[in-house]
Amino acid sequence: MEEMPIKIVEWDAVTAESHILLIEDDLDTALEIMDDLKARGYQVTHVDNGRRGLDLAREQQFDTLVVDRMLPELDGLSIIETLRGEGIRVPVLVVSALGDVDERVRGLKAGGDDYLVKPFVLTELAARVEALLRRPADPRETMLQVGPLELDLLKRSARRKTREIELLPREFKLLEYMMRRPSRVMTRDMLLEEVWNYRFSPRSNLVDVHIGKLRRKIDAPGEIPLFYNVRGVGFILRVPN
Amino acid sequence: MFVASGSFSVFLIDLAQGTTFRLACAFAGFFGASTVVLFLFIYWQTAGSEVNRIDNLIAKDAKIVAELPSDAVRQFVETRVTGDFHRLSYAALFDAQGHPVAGNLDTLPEGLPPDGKVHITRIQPTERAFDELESVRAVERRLGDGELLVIGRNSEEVERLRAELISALELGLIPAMIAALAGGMFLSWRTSNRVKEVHRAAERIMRGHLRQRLPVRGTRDEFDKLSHSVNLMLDEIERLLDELKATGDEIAHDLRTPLTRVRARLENTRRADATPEELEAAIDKATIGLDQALAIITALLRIRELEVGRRRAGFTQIDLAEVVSAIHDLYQPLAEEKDIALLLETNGSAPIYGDHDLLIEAIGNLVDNAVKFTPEGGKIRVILAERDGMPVIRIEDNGPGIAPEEREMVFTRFYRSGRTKGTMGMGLGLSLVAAITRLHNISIDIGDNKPGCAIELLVNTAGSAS
Repeated sequence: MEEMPIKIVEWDAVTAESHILLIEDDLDTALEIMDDLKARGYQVTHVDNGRRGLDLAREQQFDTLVVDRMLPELDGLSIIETLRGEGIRVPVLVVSALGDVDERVRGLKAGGDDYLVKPFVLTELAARVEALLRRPADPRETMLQVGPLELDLLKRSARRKTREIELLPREFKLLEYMMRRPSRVMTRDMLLEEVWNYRFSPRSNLVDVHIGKLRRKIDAPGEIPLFYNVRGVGFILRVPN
Repeated sequence: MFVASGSFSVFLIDLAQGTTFRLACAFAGFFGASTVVLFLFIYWQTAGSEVNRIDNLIAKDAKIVAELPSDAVRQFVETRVTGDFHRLSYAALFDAQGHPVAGNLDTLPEGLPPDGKVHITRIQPTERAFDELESVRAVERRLGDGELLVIGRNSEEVERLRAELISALELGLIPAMIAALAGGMFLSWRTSNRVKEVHRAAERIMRGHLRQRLPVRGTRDEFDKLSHSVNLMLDEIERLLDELKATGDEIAHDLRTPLTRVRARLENTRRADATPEELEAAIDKATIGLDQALAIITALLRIRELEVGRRRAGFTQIDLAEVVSAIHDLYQPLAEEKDIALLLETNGSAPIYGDHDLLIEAIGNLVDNAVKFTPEGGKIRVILAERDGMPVIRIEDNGPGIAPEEREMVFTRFYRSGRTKGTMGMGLGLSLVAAITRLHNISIDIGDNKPGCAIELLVNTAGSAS
């Protein structure tokens, strides 16, 4: 697969200026996350205490909240529940050292939009924050288009310019997911969770194989590639400038 | 005498706190109380009936005499007094003013009503010293001519009988109580000695002597039985600790390998005159190495959660046919790349109560392994069937298989068979499978596919809903 080392600037151009509230009591972790998010062009405000985090989230308008599960004074889930109870719909990414199935379900039930288990790779966090910041294309849309690529959700057919592309059901599902989120980094875990509904990371390069198969159908020899591999992070579907 | 070590006061404090001694005290108390009740019964039966007899006698005498003519009364009194050699009986006649007329009393007994009933009173006999009052049971009656008749009987005999009974009680009860307490102390001392032995052994264990066991005397008493079962528990704990230690070593080894590689790579890159591209490549490789280390840690945490938590929040009614078909769908491209035929054989639906995500993970893991170890051009079959009304999933491959002597062990944490050696985190994957299947009450059986491996998952639907 063709590799395209995407510079950080490239995939945060759309989300720059977004203001993120980070509620995390471990200072080292907080600094790491802040450095990474700031380097991607985000504005980040950090508090290390649940009570103050809740107050801040009420007072100011943030684009996304990154909330640790365990916090002094007020835990992460209570913050989310309180905010949701007050009708504040800001997207929330829950970050937790508690990784079991129950905890995840509880985090999402409380009103979290996504759940990330520690230890995680910073790019995974950044990709998920970006996914929260940028809502996917209107789900009522029945015709998706990315550059020359067209996907007809009613006829279940795919076309690149005039070339008809035969897709298996799982390939269709994967392509639809990616085309709803063009120019956005999707990590392997995100794809497994969203396309296949799997909440584990297999050791095999499963996702790569699936993407590879799909890519060979979409990007025929001689055509401008639409699939890119973001090294160490995941994949991106985009029309190059 | 009982004290093996320490001062006597310490022994007494120990004694007072000991259960055995308290039981002995309670027993002695109960024994004492029942003895007292017994003595009360005897007392009532003897002293009590004697009093009754006396009372009846003098009351009857007084009644009969009161109806005699005056002379006969006087004669009765005289006869009674002179005929009483033991000086136990009293009889006297007083005139209407209370002056003595006949008999052995000088004054009317104080407070004795002339009602013909027996009362206890104190009497000053005529021939005795002034201050020698006697306790007497007496009856007083007014005669027809206004004279007063008093008949009484010394009750000191009865008192003596009472005193004898009490001293008998003391003689019997006090030694018995002492014996009970001494017995209690002895038993308590014996018990506390055994307890002390156990305590000393426990202290040694707590100080880190994990091979130490509780003493067993071979008497087959309760202490031996208790010590024996505690020792069995200690054996198990020791075994688990050893296993944990081995696991710890394995974890350390598993983590050290990628980390050492990362370190070496970074060091080499730092030394060399690296171009930006080479630096980037080195960083990427280092990241991959670190990701491997992280993946091991994550897998360890997941196994621990599954084993400790017994999480069943995600359990719902699911269809195994759907699970295996999803796995087939997920792994088909991977198998295709290796030119392996991944075949799915299902026969209708197989509803069970379980966690969809976890089962995908477990069965996916097994299929993943099968793909990994089956040579190019090989064949893997995933079969969902039914046996004795219970669903069975069978995963067959024609890879190298697993040696019979290794089949038991591959599901224990970190076990690496010849087949899995060199494959990162393999041992963990199968422990994860084992943890998930245990949670679902699914038994795993590794068999021979001649050639290759046939893994069978038998779902115990009877127990899985509990």
